[in-house]
Amino acid sequence: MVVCKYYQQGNCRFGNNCRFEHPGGRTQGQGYGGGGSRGVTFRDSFGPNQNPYRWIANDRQSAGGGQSKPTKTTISDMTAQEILTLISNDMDEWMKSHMWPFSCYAFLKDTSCLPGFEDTSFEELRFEAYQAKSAGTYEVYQQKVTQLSIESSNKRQELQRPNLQMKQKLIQEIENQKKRIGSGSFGSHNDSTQFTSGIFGPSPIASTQSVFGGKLVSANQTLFGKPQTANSFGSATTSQAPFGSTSTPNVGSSLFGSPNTGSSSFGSTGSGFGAGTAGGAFGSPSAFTGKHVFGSTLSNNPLAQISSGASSAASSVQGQAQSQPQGQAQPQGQGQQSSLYTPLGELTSDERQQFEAQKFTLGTIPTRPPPRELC
Amino acid sequence: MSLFGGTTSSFGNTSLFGSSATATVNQNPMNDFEVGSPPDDSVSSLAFSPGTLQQTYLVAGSWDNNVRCWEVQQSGQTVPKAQQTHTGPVLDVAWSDDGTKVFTASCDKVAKMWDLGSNQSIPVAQHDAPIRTVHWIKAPNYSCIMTGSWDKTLKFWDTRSPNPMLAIQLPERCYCADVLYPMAVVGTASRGLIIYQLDNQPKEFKKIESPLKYQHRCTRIFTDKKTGGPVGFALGSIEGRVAIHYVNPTNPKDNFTFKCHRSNGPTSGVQDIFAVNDIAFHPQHGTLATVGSDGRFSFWDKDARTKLKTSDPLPQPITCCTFNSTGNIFAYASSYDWSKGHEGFDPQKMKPHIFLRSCFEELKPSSKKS
Repeated sequence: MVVCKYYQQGNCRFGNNCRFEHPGGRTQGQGYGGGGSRGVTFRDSFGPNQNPYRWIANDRQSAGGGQSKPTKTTISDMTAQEILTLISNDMDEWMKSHMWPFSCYAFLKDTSCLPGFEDTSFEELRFEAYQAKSAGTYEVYQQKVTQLSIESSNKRQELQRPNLQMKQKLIQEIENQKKRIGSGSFGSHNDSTQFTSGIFGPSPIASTQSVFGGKLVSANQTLFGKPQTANSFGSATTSQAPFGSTSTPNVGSSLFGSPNTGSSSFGSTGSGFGAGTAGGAFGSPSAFTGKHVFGSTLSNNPLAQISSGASSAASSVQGQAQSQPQGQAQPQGQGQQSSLYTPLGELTSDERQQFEAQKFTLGTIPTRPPPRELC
Repeated sequence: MSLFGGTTSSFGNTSLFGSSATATVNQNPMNDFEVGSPPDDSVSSLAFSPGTLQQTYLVAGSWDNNVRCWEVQQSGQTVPKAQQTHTGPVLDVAWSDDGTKVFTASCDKVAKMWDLGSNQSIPVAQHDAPIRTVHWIKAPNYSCIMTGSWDKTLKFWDTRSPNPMLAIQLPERCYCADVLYPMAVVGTASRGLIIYQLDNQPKEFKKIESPLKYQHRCTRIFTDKKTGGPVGFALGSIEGRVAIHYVNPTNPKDNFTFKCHRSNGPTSGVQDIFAVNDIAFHPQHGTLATVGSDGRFSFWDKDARTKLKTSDPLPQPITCCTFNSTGNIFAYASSYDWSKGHEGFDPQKMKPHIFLRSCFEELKPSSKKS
């Protein structure tokens, strides 16, 4: 049956005698998807089973079942606080809805994954189990899974109710992403991180290598990081972060801090601090042209080839951006300094100059926070 | 009650459960044809033979390390034909375009080519980690298989040679892929999404920002109604959501996501969210089917943005689905997908079932305009 458009608008003069369908009062006057071109009501055309799922064009968030909230969709539209709320709602929903816990997460589509959440697919976990069964190490496997579940759950709780420190880190991450996106690196930032891991070369997965590698962390709930090189789930490729988020081999999931102290891995990220801006490295966004699927060839796609210099520069900037929270966490491991400030000794001379100057010079603004001394 | 006919099917029920007194749970609430001698462990993938063959065959890969082949007859009866084995669980199966070979990808890091005529199976591809996807590519100037693996590579193999024709580095482990010449799409861990063009030789076309916020689970390419060529893909995630993405949308709003496979929870509370395990497009109508961990399948019309049907829930998750070449049959497998981990698995109670549904009418596009 065709739905009566007047009824949808709220006034059909035929009422019950109308030859068109009046779905159960739902569409009347609610602006349910009719409010703007943004929303598209997804109608269920099976009569008795009127259960419309809303298809929202470019629906990018599900802020706590936000059917009627105006959906902001891009990172540049939203303030950091709004994004924090969004993250909190997402975590809440994730926990309550019994979703698969071992998944990566991004707060908006078109953004990079938040560091700290590693992907493990159903099949990987299952294969792990089957292998453990035949190797006789099934109890070990079970314990690992339990441990990972706990950790995953803790992480989500931390994001759902972030303490001040976590908020700072999140805001930092959000700012980084905004910058990357703002600099016109459409699609590139996500790629460059992933490419970084590619540049390190494929890590052949040893046959006995378990998804969960590394050693189990004690139940220290406050920091997400692991003392080992394995990232939080010790995902199969332990030598590199799935995001390639830090170019150091030591992969603490940087958002959640890494208790791995010792020599300053921060200083050795290999990121080019001289080039403070993220802009130039990523190249122009790919252009859709032509009518065919593939249109004309992309004019400037620096990531088309692995070996292009652009991607390594991109990755180094990426490494810099991502290693920053790690650097913040690291002094914390030493116990004394607050995690928000970059230690004075670690600044490059450029940065120091910038901080000491009256004003920042555009193009060389440091991306790390100033040391306490220079605030 | 022909499975292949255009008329709506009546209860062509060959379910094994009949009127058993002990079977309290209805494994087949949709009263579909059931495939006899199903695998002993979860079904990871299903594939029908291409239209080039006269008869219809169904191949299923399973976690019991086997690949099985049945002939599906007009009446809906299935006849087990042959079986091959890997040394690890089989994760994906694919037919060659001429219907003479079946390719199987397995956790044993090997992909095999199964010649159905001789019933011989030989290894044709090798990776350093389990192979998650295998697809056959038939281009005017070359033919090969494409394998995607958890070792973060995508490799292309001429089946006559032990070395890959081409190996492409992926940003992360391959989680799902689909091929429809000249386009291929690969979804990886950490929400990676890459499109490849296959004409002349496979090369990366574009990396795409994921339209979804959680782990990618399945993907399927769809075609343009007029030209029949690939224009975009559907992508499913663990978050009960599917994204429809055109590679070159005329209007950015053409790309959208929709929620699916969620429990009808209270609107104020939070629903249960289930993963989308597989997506399949109807070869004639262009409408799509999704199957999820909630044990339901749903049919959708993406152009009218309408849901056509949702099934009753099956007692187990539905792990994979596919259409036959003419679009008369919708096959789906009810088996455990590991969505609740090892704790959710009871091998005694959760035996796999494969069902065949006569679906041509149900998948007709909605007549309503959005």
